[in-house]
Amino acid sequence: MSIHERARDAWLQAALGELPEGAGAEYLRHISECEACRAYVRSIEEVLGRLPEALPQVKPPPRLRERVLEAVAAERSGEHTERRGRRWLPVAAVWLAVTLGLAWGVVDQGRRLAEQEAAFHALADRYERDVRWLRTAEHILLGARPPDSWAVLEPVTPQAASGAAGKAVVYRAYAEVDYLLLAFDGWLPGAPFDVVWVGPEGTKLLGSGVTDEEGGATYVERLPGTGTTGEVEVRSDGDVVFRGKLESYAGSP
Amino acid sequence: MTEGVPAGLTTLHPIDQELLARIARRDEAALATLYDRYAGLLYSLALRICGEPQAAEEVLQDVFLTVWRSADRWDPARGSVQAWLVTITRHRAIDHLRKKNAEPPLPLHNGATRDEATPDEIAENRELARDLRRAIDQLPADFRDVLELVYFSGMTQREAAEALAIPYGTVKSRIRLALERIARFLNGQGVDA
Repeated sequence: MSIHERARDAWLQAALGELPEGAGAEYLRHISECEACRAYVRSIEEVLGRLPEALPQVKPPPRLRERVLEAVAAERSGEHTERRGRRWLPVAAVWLAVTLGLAWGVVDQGRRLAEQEAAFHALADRYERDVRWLRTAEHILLGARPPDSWAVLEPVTPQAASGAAGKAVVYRAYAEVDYLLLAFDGWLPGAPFDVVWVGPEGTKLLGSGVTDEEGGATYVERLPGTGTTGEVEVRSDGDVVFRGKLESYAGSP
Repeated sequence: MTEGVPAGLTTLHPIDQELLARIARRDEAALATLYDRYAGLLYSLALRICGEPQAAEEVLQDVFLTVWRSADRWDPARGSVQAWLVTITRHRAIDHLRKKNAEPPLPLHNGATRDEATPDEIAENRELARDLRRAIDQLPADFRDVLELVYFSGMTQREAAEALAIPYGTVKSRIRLALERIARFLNGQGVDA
């Protein structure tokens, strides 16, 4: 059996929702580099995507559309609140600066205003850095600077034999602002997953994603004041797929 | 040896790509339109695999929430929106099935059209669905049985091998050959080419 056939076989196993045997991740990597295999995969993927057209078409109940759109609207409203909060952060700082400036104006208005202006700029700069951290998160994963804590993401049975592997790190951007970054590959392609933080305060769902065609994903999330150590889990429909215990980096690779 | 499969099958609908781009920009109306276009197809698949309407509804809600959260990660170079949606739906439904041990699914049947499609699209979809059924019908019966159990009923290939009392390797090669033949048939080369 050639590498092409083994790779296509491994891909089909994963596409059918089963774990590839042997070095699944290696074969899936071959597909990403082989034009003929990519064309094959695209072709079969389209057939898999169209097969449901051969089924009797059943209309979902009308209330389901409403439920789905309500769930999305609720999530959207949460996003809005978060974004609005961030957008108003510099404005709030200005308001604070002006208010404090007025209160202290009678004592030493000039000196205080200068200090408050500096505080405002520091706050705005911190906000900008916050945004920059999110944008450059993937580069950080490549090792541009050492993390504060790290963990190998261990595939949980039955993925353990599939060659799936991952890594998670936490960076402290500045006081009380931590980012979790994780990457894994060799799992199922197109699979939805949740990232869960297990800290001293309990379990917290950080967010969700879908794996790419190689069964991998990179993920970044700001931690909700949990500190830099704890356990992180990648779950799919409630089942743990990867688990890692984040420990202080302390010069580890 | 793997049979060759032509690469020209891919069907990318510009409307779907535009909808995904708008969803990535947090446009709820675009998600509603995508729902109207694909809910029937995806619900039918989820119902088929899960075997119960309530489970299929949960799967569909999960799928569209996943689309809302991940639309910016969809890459047109990787295939059609439909293929992406079906993959997510199938994986979600199989997860559900393996947890809940649902009732056996409905049999295969005819008649696929997407909701909210234009008259031209409806005609095209009907023709494509007809071609697809013809491609499936022309497969050898033992290929169809394997496709039925593995793809439409959510069995693992090992479970299908046990159910059909044939070797696991035979199931794997039959499903692969069945998919390759359908791909060739849909490209106008005939199922036995």
